[in-house]
Amino acid sequence: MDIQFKKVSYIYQPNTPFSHQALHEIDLTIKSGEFIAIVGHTGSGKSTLLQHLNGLIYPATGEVRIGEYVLNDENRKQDLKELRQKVGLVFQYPEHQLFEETVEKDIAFGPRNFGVPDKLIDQRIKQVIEEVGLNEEILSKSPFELSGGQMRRVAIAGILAAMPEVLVLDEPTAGLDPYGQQQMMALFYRLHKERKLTTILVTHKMEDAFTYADRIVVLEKGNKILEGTPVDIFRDRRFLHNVRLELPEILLFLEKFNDTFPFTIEYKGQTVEEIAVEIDQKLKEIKGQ
Amino acid sequence: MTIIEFRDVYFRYNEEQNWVLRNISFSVNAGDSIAIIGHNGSGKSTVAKLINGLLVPQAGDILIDGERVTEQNIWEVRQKAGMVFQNPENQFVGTTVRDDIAFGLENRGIPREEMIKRIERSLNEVGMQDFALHEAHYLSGGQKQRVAIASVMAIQPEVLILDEATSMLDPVGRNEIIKTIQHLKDERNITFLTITHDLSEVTLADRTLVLKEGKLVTDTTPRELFAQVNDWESLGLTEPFTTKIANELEKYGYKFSSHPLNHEELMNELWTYNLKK
Repeated sequence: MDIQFKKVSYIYQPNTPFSHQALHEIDLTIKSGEFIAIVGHTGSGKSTLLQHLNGLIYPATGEVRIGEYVLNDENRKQDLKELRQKVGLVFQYPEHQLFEETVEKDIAFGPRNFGVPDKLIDQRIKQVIEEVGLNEEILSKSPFELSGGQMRRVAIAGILAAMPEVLVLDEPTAGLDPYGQQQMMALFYRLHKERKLTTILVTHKMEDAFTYADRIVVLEKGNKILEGTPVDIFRDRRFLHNVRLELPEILLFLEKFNDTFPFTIEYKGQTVEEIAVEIDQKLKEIKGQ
Repeated sequence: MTIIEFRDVYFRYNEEQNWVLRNISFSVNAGDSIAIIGHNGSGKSTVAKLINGLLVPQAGDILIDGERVTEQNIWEVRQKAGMVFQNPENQFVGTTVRDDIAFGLENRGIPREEMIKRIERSLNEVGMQDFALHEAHYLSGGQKQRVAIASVMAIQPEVLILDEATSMLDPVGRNEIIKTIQHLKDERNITFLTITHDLSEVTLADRTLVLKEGKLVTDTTPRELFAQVNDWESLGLTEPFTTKIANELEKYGYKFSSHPLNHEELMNELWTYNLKK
């Protein structure tokens, strides 16, 4: 499902003294199967942007096209059930939305609302619980006796059970320890590949954006100020310094390294292992001279 | 002089649950700066809450400045050990920055003249002197946390506990707090206890306590810790970048005399190594 934003603006509390324009004429195209990271700080408009993705809010001007759906100011009254089934939204701290008596019932809640037959729901529960890295024993437990990390996985399983084509993730690793964060991102990346999802990650962690995204979009005060592949963004990094975003550590290291040594290592999306090889080669070269 | 001491401390939230902390003993010298790390649920925050009496252990003793923490002396203890929490949104009680700091002082019956002096001093220390009359909701997360630190410092505690005080901040906010702490370390002779997942914050401490499943598993300097640990994941952490790249380079015959803690140390060593051969 392709997604397209055409000159989308959004205003909170319009025509009041508190009126605040959260998005300014955003143009953005997301191709089916892409992994996009939207980065920016509190107040940059990233949460407002993501709420457009399943029609929780409509643009004040401009339009959003998601597959066959068109969302603009004129067509606010339309049935969005199918859209919401196709676009799964994982909000921040999704475990706060768990409410059922058992894990199994909680996961079943979404698909049941979308009218999936019971037999199919049972199959899906078995599939998604495995996909999020939990085992079936957990299904009969209360979600509230689980650890924080397990609760989050259950909440995500509930969203996956609706079989979305697009997965929108709003700061999905907040509150987890660093290893838990890495595991969670690895889970989303695996799902992205295996289910051939379109994934939209909203984050202020540049590290995750650079590691997983095909393209990065940088928002600041409701404007799109930068868009490109991780390599493009690194090339234009001078724009990042003004917007309180920090490069991933590997790139900070490269910058400093290139300032210190009489040669340059270009960033081409290398891993730490590959960078070490290049450092070794370059050091040997100058020693040879 | 010992300022904090844990003697065989056990804690659990209720009898049906497992122990959150098991047999924890350690002591902290006045003026030291300590980092506590561990996975989610390892018991780090519980240690902090036990220090200033927000929680009470089922067994063992906690001594602050030589005195056992009891229900009777809890207010004295809180005077000595101040705490800054994770969420900048949850710690503002006053309408303005100045009122917020005054709140804690009023509760302790500090005279007005003294209050004015302390507010000024603590705002200066955190670099928020120009914001005395600002309202909370106009401040960034980093600024709110600096005000929270100022509110605690105005009480003139002997120990400042930071319970993941930077984890909800953006990189700029986090750097503001790290700078503020470094400045306070120079200015006041105070003991710091930082609970964190951020290994760059750990490198700034004198000593690191590592908790794992409720037990104290390591008590050492950051440099020793970085050299020792080969299973960061079981601590809820990921291998620090500097360690990772140093380990990779060692595969190609580079040797690092001391375990590099940051980019500068690593590059200095590479530079020297390059000159020698």
